[in-house]
Order: sequence, then structure tokens, then C-alpha cells
Amino acid sequence: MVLGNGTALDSNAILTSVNTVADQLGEGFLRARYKNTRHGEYEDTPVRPREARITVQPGIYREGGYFDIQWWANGDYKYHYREQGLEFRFGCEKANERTTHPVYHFHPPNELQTHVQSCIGANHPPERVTRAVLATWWAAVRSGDEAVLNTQDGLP
Amino acid sequence: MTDDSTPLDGSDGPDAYPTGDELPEEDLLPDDISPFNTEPSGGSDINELATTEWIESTTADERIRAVLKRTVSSKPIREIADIAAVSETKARNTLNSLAEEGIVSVEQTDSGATYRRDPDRYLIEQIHQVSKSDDLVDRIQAAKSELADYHGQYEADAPEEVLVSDRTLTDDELRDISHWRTTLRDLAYLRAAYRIQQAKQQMPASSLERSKENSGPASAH
Repeated sequence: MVLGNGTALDSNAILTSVNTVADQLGEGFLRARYKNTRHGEYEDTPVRPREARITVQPGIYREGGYFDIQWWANGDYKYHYREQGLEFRFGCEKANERTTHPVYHFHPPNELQTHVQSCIGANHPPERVTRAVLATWWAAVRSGDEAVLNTQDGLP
Repeated sequence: MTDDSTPLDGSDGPDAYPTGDELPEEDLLPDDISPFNTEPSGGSDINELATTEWIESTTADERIRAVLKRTVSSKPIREIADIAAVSETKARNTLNSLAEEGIVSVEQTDSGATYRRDPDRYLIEQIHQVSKSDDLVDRIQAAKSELADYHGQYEADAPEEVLVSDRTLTDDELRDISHWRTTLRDLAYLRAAYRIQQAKQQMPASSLERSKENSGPASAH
């Protein structure tokens, strides 16, 4: 099982997500870099990017963190947050329909093999998904506590 | 079972995080920014909060356009209105005027009209976006070189050949297929964009000036 299930990356949705983070975070958005080829280096200019890496500040415990964002043509996505000593992911993986894992899932901090149901609604566009992911991150930043990332567990 | 990228190199491992020299000397504190009008807290419905935030920072028309842009297969009005957080009447009116502009394709079904983004219009927009790059020849060469890697590695001309073959693909190979398809599509876009640049060079200087004034900064729109 792989995100995207073999479909092409969706550059436009990736760029829309970056613009949404920039709009939402203002000064908290430090920079975005892009992988424009599979094994290429990160570049400052996006040209049909395969992945965006956004540097944000502050972090949950540290001064800053990375959000790595990808979207695929089948609607799958990945938001991977990392700061020193902590990482978590939100994902949508349609191929999980054939497994026991939820399609919309959350990998809790430092338990990246665990799939928890994500509260992020189905079929939402990047503008809406990005804001939801940022809201969970921001709740953790405000409280200085990664545990609030999990408070969505009990939500429908 | 893992569903996410295995580290390809040092840039994707758990050690990938911003270090001091990437961050400004002066720390930005949580109190320095207020990204959300309503503060999320433990127990608040994140999904609802994100929707409220989206509604407050956009117009109904913008949200309908945003949803439509990701609607590849036709959907009824009710579904689009729900995802865009607008009324069905508003969605119907906006989608019908977008259809007149050629941005939306409408299909009539027994249970009413369904809507999706117009594939041709979307394609042209994407190519137009790429045509603003100033290093298209380099990008085309990079795409060709990436394709050559896949051809060599899989001894196949197209990703579909690998998908229908008897071999069982590993997760990493399926990721290759994803990138292979991306490269094929992007090479077609890059070449079309290059032709557009060539066509522009054939235009008289006065009309080029006018088109420059009309083009905004590069964006995902």
C-alpha cells in the first residue's frame, strides 16, 4: 500500500497547500522549497513540484519545524510534520479501503506505524485540509503539548 | 505494513528537521502570531474550526472554485455545496456561470445536473503556468533523463506495462510508477509550454507588452 497508489503527483494541489500555509501563518511561514524531480535536491522555485517542504516557526517544543506536503491525482495526500525529537503525519490513502487501516488517518507523534482515524473530512480540497492540519499543529504549539494532536481521536 | 515514503536519502529521514542556521536568530513566539481567529484547544472539533477559518478568509465564489478545481469526476450540486460550505442555491448559480465561462463541464443525468472541472480548460491553465518558467529546456532535459532511468530500471516503455506485468511491485516500485507517470505528464506540459514561448516570440513587441501587464506573479491559481 502506497500513497497515491501509483497515480501521478498533483503539483497544483501541492502549490495550493503552500499558498494556504503562507496565508494562514503569516510571519510563521518562513520559506518553502520544492522537489521538482523524484531524486532531486530541494529548490526555491517550483516547476511542477512533486513535494513541498515548508519551514514554519515556532515549533511545538522547538523553535521551528518542517511540513512536507504531497498530493496525488487520486486525491491522496500526506502532511508530515517534523521538528527535532518529534514527528507526526496526516494522510489520505484511498487504497486503505482494502485494508483494516482507515483511509483518512493520523500517525501519532513518534508512532508512525500506528493508523488512527483522522477527523479531517472526506473529499476536502487542499485549502480546507491544510487549515485543519495547521489547526491541530497550532493547538499543540499553543499548549506546548503534543498530546492535543490526538484529541481528535474521539471525534466522528 | 507501511504506507508512507521510506527515506530515500538524508533529507527524508527522522533527522530531517530545521536546525539553528535555517531559523532566524530571534525566536518567533506563539504569542507573536495569531494564525486562527478562533483558538483551537484540546477537544475542539478541528474540522469545524478549519471550515470556519476557510469561510472567514474566502468568499463563497472562491470556495466553490476551489472545490470545483479538485472535482475530476462529476458530482451533484449538493455534494459540491457541502464541501464548499455554501448553500445549494449559491453553488448552482456560481457553477452555472462558471459553465458559461468554460471552466465547468455540466452533465445532465436522470437525477439532475452534475458538475466537474472542464478537463481541457484545466490542462491549458496548467501549461500556461509552466510557460512562465525561464529554464524550460533544462527542465525538459531533466524530465527526459528521469524517464530514461525508469526505462532502464524496468526494461519497459510505459508504467502501465509494469503495472500489468506478472511481477509484484514493492512499495518503492509503486512510488516509482507514480513519479514515472508524473514525469510523462510533465514532459508533455513542458514541451507544450516551450511551444507557447516560441509562439510568443513571433508576436509583435507591442502585443507582448500588453500581455505582460496582464500576467500576475506566478501562483497556483
